[in-house]
Amino acid sequence: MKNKSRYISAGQTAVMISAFALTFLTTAAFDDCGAALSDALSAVLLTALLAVPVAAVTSRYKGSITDIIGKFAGRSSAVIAAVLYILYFIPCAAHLIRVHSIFAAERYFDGVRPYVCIILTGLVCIYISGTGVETVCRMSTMLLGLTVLTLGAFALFSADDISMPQITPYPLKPIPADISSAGLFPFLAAAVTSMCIVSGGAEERTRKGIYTGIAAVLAGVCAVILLIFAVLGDFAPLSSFPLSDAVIYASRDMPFRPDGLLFTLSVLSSLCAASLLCACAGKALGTIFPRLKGAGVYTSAAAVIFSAVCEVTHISAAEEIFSSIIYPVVLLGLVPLAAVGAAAFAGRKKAVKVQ
Amino acid sequence: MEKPAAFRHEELPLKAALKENIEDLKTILGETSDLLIDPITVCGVSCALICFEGMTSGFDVFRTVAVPLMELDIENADSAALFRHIRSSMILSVDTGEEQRWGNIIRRLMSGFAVILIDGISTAIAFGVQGYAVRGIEEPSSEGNIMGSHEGFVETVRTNMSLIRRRMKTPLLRFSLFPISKRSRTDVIVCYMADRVPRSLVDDVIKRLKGLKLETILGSGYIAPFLDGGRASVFSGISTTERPDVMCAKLLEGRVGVLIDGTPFAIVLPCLFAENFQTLDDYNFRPFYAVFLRYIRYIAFFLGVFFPGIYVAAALFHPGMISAPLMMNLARAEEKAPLNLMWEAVIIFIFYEIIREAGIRLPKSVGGAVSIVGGLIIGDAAVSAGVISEPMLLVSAISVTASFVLPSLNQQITVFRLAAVLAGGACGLFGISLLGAFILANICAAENYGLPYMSPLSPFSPNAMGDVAVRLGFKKLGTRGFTIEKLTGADIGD
Repeated sequence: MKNKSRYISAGQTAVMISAFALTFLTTAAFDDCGAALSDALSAVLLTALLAVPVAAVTSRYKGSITDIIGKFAGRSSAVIAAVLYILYFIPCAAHLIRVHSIFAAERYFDGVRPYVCIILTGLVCIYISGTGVETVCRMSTMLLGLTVLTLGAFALFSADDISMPQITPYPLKPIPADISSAGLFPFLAAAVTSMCIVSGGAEERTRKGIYTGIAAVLAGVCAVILLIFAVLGDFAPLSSFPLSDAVIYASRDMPFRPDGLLFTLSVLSSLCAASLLCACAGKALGTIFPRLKGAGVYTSAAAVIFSAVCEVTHISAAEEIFSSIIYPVVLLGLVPLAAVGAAAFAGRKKAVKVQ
Repeated sequence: MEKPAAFRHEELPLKAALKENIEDLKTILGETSDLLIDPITVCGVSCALICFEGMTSGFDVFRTVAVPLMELDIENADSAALFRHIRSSMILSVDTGEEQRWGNIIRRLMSGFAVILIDGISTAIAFGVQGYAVRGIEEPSSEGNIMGSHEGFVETVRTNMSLIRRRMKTPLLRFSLFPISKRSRTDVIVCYMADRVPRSLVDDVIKRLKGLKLETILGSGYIAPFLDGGRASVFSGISTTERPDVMCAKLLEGRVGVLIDGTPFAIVLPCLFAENFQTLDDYNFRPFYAVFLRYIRYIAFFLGVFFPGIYVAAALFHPGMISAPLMMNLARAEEKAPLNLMWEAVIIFIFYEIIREAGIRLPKSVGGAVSIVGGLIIGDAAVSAGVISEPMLLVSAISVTASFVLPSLNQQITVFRLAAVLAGGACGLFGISLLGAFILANICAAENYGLPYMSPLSPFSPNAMGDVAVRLGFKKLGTRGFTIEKLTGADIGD
């Protein structure tokens, strides 16, 4: 019997957006606390601004952005939009898989080349993407549970190591001109762009999860950055993966090192993030080829292959598409506005006909 | 396409002449030795009393059917008058019916009915006088409990029906009985609460059962795959139970039950992942203790699946994660063992499965010896010989014992435990994490009849968490009128 339930809740969308931020935190390096906080704040503000057309469109009309375009502007327009989303989602997923695999190979899988981790991660990503967008969103509850468990374990056993005087207000640095090249923005932009397709399974309350997720990201990322610099101090800029190092250092007196929990959480969050992008690409592919079954498998396979090729050949195509600001502006701003325009035009045409 | 010879009798009508009917019956059934045909004369009319030996109660056939017929005295009786009198003025059995086709007549005979054929009438009268040997109602073998009922289902579907009816004395409890499968014509009963379950769900289940193309059904396992969801999943979207009280509780929650003749295991659908951690005793204990036990089961699931794999991964790839004194002890113990930790674990679990299978298949009188032999071989001799290490044996024993807490998930825990050991041994914590993500995705993707298997955790249903995260008291639990249709994201029925 085919799966009937297409429900995606506000909480699930908020957690999925947070999963992208978690992937950023586990794989990013920070030069300066103030700069990192500025980057986070500016990324959140810019993404919140870019998300306005998406939230507005999906609150008025039911379905994904491509569904709405298809309904009001015709199938060919929907196909063009779907192609644009696919060309963005697949490189983003490839980049997420790659950066996490580099982290995993360096810290938790000694002696193994990152492309091996890419293939292993990719196999699971292919399976998860093939199950559909709804399944990926349902995994969010366990992600949230594991996050709470991890935070609880650290709070219980590591609190003594963080003395309050170390957490001092850091002066925010000026916002850099090109915030898109690195930092939180590309992750957040990819997350919110996926909501353009996820909204196809969403109810009205679900769209509120977009801003709930963005707010949670701001609070969570700032808190984690502050804690990292509180624990590592001047050593933070020297670390390739400061969050992992901060956790290990903070728990050095514990009988058991709990960073394994954090690593498991990072694997799950990066898999959820990459799989969501691939599943959304698969759903967009379904718009182009309606009879194609298991489209998520094809898009995720493409992402995995792209990721492995980028890693082996050291080309940065995936990273460049992921980091560029142009794609999010087009996909979050122009395409939804085009959908609104098409809907308004279709509405006027219908009104004229009635008259 | 021409029907096979064995099934051509099904639509064959009864004839008026008694001799021809008896010839037809002998032709259809062949020279089978358990067919009993007794010619009798009732009020001067030739009749025949037919039944299968061992299927009917000889006493009931004699006292309640044969004797009243033999003592019958109707003036100027002919075949038609006799038939009318028997049908309208005599109650020879509570379950009586008329049949005109040989397929139905034979099915009745094989269900323990006695059939009367009257010369000159092309309709047979069937009387329910079942007397075949049945097992008495006993405590279920697989679902033990402390404070609940000790009655379990038996192999007779009608007895099971009465066990449910006795507990739910409401006119809204409905049963739908019909035979399925080509050869065995096994009786199945679909039971449901009319005000709690969407009619379309019931119709869907009945349609699937009637559409089965199986030749025979000898257990619930034959039917289960056809009632389970379409997507391939390690976890099943239907559950089985031997307990009528559990069945009643599930029916109240808007599920459908399927009772199958010949097996005490009834099917309940659709089911949720969280139900595997609930037992009947939870509702007999105080809430605080029930919650404690429930979390013990959640921990047991984690230990059963991941503990050996995490141990292997930590010892082989991440020794820094284990405290130094413990690491020294483990290293000392592992020095003697010649094999890699991963292969030690695999060997232990394979041996455990062999001993467990042997214990199940052997007669009960000998089964105890298997435990002793298994314990000696694995527990003592293997460690003394240095084949396996004590820490690995301890970890495996904890994992296996934890899996006993969840018998309904035993298959999945066994397979995933082995997978976790292989993943941990090959890829360390990275492999364990990937496997965990795969298992989670498998659970989240499963869905049956429009109900996500991970409900009420995901999609989150706050109202239903009162019986998942905690166990509310009955003042709240018993009055909330919960049905699975109310779960968030459920798309059941109409």
